[in-house]
Amino acid sequence: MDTQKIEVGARALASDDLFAALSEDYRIGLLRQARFEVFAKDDVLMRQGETGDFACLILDGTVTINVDSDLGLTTVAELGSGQLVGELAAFSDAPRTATVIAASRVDVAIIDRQAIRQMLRDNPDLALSVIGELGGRINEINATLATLTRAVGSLGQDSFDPRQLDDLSTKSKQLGLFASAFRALADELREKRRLAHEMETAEAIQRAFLPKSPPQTPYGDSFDIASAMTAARHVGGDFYDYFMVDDTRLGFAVGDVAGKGIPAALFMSLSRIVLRVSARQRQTAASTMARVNDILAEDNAESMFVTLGFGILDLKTGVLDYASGAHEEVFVLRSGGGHQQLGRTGPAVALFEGAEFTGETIQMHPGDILLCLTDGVTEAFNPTSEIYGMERLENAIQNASRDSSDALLADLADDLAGFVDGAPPSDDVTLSALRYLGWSNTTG
Amino acid sequence: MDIQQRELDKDILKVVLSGALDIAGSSDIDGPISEASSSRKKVIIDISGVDFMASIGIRVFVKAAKAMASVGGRMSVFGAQDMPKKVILSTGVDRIIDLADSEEDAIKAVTRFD
Repeated sequence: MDTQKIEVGARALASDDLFAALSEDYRIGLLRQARFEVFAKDDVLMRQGETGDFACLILDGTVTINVDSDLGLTTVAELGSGQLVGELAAFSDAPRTATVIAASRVDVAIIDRQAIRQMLRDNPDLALSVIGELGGRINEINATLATLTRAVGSLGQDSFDPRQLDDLSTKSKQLGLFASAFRALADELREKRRLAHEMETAEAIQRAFLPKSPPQTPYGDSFDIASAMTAARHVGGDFYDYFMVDDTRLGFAVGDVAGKGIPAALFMSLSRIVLRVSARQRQTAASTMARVNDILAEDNAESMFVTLGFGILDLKTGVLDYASGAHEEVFVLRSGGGHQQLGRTGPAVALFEGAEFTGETIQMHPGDILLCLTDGVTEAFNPTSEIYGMERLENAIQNASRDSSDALLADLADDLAGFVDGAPPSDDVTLSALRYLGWSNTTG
Repeated sequence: MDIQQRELDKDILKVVLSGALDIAGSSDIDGPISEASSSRKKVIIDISGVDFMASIGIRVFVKAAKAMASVGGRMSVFGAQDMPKKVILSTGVDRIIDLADSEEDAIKAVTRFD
């Protein structure tokens, strides 16, 4: 009943370099001793590292040849009907060098090591062919290694040209498949490098737009400021800003653009500029926010948006005028203890033209601190995927020093770092604090 | 991020999302949701299987809702869990995205003017 399979197998063997040297009868005899088996898709035919005591002749279907390495299981070749796999390990007692997995339903003839060895005893000339074949493979491997060494070298110098591997493609189907796997890997590597470069650019844009020092004003003694930002691997669009709105009023902002990378960084820089300009043209935090919103919402086809908290502190009176476009992580800490969260007073900025914002007025006393964070703090995860959360944050705020903006941020950052325990941040983490010291302090 | 689409009566397209709408999840659904919003007039989106929504996830819905509104289409999102619901409400996008409690309500919302 396997007659047909034996014929198919014999024809396949006839076109194999090694077995072609046998007589037709011998090949048929070899297949008569073979076991015919059928594997379902994803079945493992041979496993890397196991001792090989048989070879497989593929009669129908395809298998993949996979090598397990530090990079995981990598498919290096695909073989189809008529091809022989695992014969080298069957000649010797060497362990399998790859794992063979059925890529479809596969019909195979399994030829045992005994049969193969007997074949060598029966056909002494064949042993010479085997040695010749092995020698050929070694030469091929050496040439391949040389080509790959050159390719890896140029990949390292970013001068890799896929044509460098054309040699491999023409040598054999297996090496051709390997060459295309290498090219795909090289493409991936270059794409990753490009992305890494893009992220570096985004981070540079982001950093370039953060203020480097407190605003220049004759009344610099009436406040102290501290800020810190840790950019995530995929650079988000966090920002903080502070600037003099007029002679005696200080603008203090925190924002978080929805999105990552260069688009977010560009939108963030745009938001910051629009905010600075608008704040100097408008009187209140709420009207500034409305103006910023309208400008950014115009022609915003990509629906970019930013959550924005903006306060204007009158250094003379200590009155804080505050508005929030869906930014929620803003607190006022009282010097004598206690704190309050300043909620949102309007929707996220840039989404709806004509959106309305209300303002909130808070009287700041000397020693009180305006603390502005982003959700990178509350949504920080530790290695066991727990979230930092608002409760932990409020506890930390309760226990942190209020002696200066620096001391406060240092304590908060410590608490967060202790919780996160080295887990990489998934979003930008921003902390910014403004401590009011009182007008009389500066003017005497 | 898993996304499935099903045709309902009255020419309504139902989209079922499940997973986390973080950066990766958002980019997974951006194409299909944009496609649905530009080719359909009535779309309801089941987000009961969405357990996390970053602000970037909101953008996908806002973009779609705006695109549909500009051509007289209607979109309704339903079944939001607490966390995504909080994000939608706090950013104020519920004024452009119809947020329904159940599939029935979502269907009512998109067929209101039939």
